Amino acid sequence: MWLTQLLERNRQCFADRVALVDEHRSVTWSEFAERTAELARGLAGLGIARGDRVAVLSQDRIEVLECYFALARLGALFVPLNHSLAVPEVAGIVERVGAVAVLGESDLLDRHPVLPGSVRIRLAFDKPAFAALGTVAAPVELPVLPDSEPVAVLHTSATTGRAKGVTVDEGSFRAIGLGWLAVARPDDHVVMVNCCPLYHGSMVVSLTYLAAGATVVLLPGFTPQKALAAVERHRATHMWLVPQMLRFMLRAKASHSTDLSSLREVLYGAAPMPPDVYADAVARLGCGFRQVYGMTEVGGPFVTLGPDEHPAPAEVAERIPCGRVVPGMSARAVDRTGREVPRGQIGQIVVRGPGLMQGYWDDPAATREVFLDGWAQTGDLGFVDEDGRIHLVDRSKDLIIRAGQNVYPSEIERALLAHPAVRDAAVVGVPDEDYGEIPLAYVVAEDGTGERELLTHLAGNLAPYKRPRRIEFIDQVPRNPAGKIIKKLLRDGD
Amino acid sequence: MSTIRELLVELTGTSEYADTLGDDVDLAGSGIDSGDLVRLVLLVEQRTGVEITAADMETLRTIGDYESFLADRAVAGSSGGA
Repeated sequence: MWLTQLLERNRQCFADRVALVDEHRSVTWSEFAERTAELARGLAGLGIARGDRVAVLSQDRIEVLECYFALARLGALFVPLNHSLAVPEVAGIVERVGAVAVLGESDLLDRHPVLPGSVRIRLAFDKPAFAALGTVAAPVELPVLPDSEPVAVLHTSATTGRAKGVTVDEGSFRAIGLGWLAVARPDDHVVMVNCCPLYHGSMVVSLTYLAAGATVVLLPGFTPQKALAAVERHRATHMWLVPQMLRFMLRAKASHSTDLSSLREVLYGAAPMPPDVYADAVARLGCGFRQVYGMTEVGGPFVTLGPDEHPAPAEVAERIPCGRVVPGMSARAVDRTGREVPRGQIGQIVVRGPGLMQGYWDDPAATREVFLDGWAQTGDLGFVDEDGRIHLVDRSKDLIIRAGQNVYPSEIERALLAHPAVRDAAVVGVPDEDYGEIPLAYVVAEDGTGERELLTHLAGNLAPYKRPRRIEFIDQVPRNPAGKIIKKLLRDGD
Repeated sequence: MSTIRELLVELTGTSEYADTLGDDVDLAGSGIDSGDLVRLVLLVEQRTGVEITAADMETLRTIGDYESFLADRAVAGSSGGA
């Protein structure tokens, strides 16, 4: 009921104030609540019912959130799809969750003319049939659902090479939302430009600011120019982005000619903040910074470092601490056995609390694997300082974070190995100034196999952000006696 | 090779992508990463000194659009325009 209660409260308190803005229009809280109820009835009229999965393929726009809230009212599960995924990746997700409907933008839906057999409804946001949904349907009684009702399946990159669906319920949103509201204290005068995609776990940040009655401005894909223009046009007080977006924004010429004086706080997360970007941003933006540390499996943002806790740029040696865990959640550093390590000692960061996911969709083995005595393992290595702040130092998982998007090397290796001429493959992350990290592939292939051929093969199977820019051909992938790839040798040899 | 194609080669690290694109192909739908499109705009600004605004971005979809935009700016610049 969290999402419904959020709407009911904000409609009551801020009826005529703007809730959402996108590049096409804006809606007030009253309009948002009415359309959500209408849409829920319309979708129910199409036969979508409690427990059904509905995939959404769209750039950020108001209809995405209307669907999110409408499906929650029905007890149907929202399954947002990364629109940059390749055709087989989208088909794989839709098939695994058994989606009964796919909703989205026409041009994106058109890229997927053939969808798995479970899909019986296909509706485009920009067509009259979607706008008419619920406006003429007979009234449908909308159920009152408990917080334990699953509400979304959010997909993350996975070591298996196939995206894993993280099933979250409204209790998770409520727990994270209330914890966040208690420490970050956004209010109904906040106007937040959301630069992050709504298909990502990071969308919980926007949900949380909406819960406070804030106005959220959605961008249809990030560009520095659009983000800067949105801040000026809407007199935005807050922005939510990944550090690489901030780097691009500060590099754009428009950053010098745009009025950014309304900005009070820049929220950043999903990747470490490069010290040079932070120093530049502090000097030029003159606002506060809030770090967001989160993970989809944990319900989203569960740790934050507020503006008052941020160090001066000159004091940042390598990394800014992540901050303290939000009220209602627990986090600690543990050794390999799951025992808590002393303050200041490095261990794996694990998390517990009502924000945690219910589990991976249809994958109990993976769910068991991620939990250690009831604590979710983040795969991040770090320590807790004397003031309870979490500091990250490394990753225990073999993961590449490219501009805030997680990419498991195994996913790329698997795609490479599917090419008939590839005998072995290994992928490592290498530093990149613009993206933080990018994948680099090492391949053992049949004679005569070219880089172009393999890159073309990958283009048909992987989203652009997962594709390596370069492929190095080698005679043998270094492996230890157990057959595991020795990636350090590849990284050091590059 | 045109300026924009040269920049695409620089960004993608290979001439293969830029070589296969027609002047009127929508770059966003061409398989290039969205981050690389952002970098293309920044690189155009850096190399030409021209500021690209959010409104300009609406019109810049293809290599041909970029080339026309830069040609217009060059004419405006040489005739003392904005």
